[in-house]
Amino acid sequence: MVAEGREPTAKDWRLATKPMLDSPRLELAVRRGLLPVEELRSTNVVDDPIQRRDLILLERARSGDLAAFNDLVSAYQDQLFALVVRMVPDRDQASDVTQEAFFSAYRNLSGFRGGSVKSWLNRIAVNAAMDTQRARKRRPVQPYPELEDESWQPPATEDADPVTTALTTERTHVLNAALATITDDQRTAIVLFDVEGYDYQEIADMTGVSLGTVKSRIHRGRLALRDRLADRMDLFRG
Amino acid sequence: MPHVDELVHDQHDLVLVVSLASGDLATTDRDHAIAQSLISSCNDCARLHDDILAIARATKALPPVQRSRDFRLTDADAARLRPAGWRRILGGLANGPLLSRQLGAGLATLGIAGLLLTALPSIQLGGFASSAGASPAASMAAAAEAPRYESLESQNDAAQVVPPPVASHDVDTMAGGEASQASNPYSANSVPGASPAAGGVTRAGATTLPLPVARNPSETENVAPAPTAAFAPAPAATDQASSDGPSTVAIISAVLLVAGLLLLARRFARGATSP
Repeated sequence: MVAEGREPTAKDWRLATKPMLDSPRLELAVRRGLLPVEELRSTNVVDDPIQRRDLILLERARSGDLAAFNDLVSAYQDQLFALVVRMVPDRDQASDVTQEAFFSAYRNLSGFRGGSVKSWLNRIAVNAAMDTQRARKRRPVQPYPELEDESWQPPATEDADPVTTALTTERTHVLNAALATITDDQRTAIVLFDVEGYDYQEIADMTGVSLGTVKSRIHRGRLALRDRLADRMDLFRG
Repeated sequence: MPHVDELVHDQHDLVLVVSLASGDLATTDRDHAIAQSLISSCNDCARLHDDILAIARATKALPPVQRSRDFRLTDADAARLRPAGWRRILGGLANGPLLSRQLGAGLATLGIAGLLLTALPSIQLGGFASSAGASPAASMAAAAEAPRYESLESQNDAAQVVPPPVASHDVDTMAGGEASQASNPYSANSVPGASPAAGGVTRAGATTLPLPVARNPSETENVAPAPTAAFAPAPAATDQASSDGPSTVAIISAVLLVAGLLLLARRFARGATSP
């Protein structure tokens, strides 16, 4: 690491003490002696390379490394914006909410207490989106504008049928419009369950309601969607 | 098998059908059997079931919406968001979950205890003082008796009691407060809430009579006859005493309580944003 005949500088020392992603000297991986089963179970999550990367970046961000935090932002901004824009179907508002979520994450870096960084960021984003929904309820405004996304096109393949492509685009457009008209609670539950893939318990923890309420919101939300899509169900059948 | 009539689809439990489509009904559940019977015997329910499945599939397949801007933080953002001053200290304390909880609870307890300690004596002494006749009400009662003292005064030997020539308790305190305190431990300055009249009588040490604090109007009558003017400022003086504000202990207790509650609140707030 250090060139021969040269005194190691502070930078060299920092590099030497900072473990690489795959280094066995990672702080969370370095343990002495035998571990109880419970602890072994808790350290298994670090085996995931993405989580290891996230934890290292977060640790560096905590020590004041803004670039490390921005690496985290780069890794999750697409996913977080996609989540927020489904909950708050207004691109401008969703952008503000996502930015605010990252601000909040940066402010509360020291509040992270282990686990998945992705889940932590998602939770912050969901809370920020729910705050916006509540503010919107208190101050009645126009319904959400249509969530147009001209940038997205179905993946082009050699055998892509123009009719199928048009159908997919139309279905997405119609479904987005219907999602924007159901209640915030129902939309949040459906997005977290169907789009983000969380289970009922995770959604209940995230939104602060009971398991039964989450199920009820998803069921009633789907029923409401079906009511709104009644005239266009031909797009979805078959 | 429950009886299902297709003609009354509107009366069917549609949420049950949606639950079945979502896979939330256990096969052993009675509701599962009801939902199955609805689907098998009611075309609308069957269509609803299929539609829900199709919508769920379409929702899962929704393409991600492309973001319109970059959310990375600038140096200015970071500088603005970095906690500074007391927030940094509080944040540092609140980071240790155990420490913050214990410290917060401890501070809050100290604060409550301090507030109680400052509040309880005033409650107890307040009751005592009112029975002792040292309250403003008692002073007013004594003032009402004053005309009689005047008449008595003319009959008494004037050398025994020297009525204060100055009516104001404030002036008394300024002029002879020290002497009054030295000669009379029950003076208004040493006992909060004591009748200002007592201090007035002992002004400037003009008399050597030991003057106990007025216990009740009748005692006052025997010991400290004073002109009406001497009692007139009493309510004002009492107001001044009460307007001194909360004691230092009360203020410190309140600060401790607020700090403790802030720590606990921050701790719980952090719990909401943590995975």
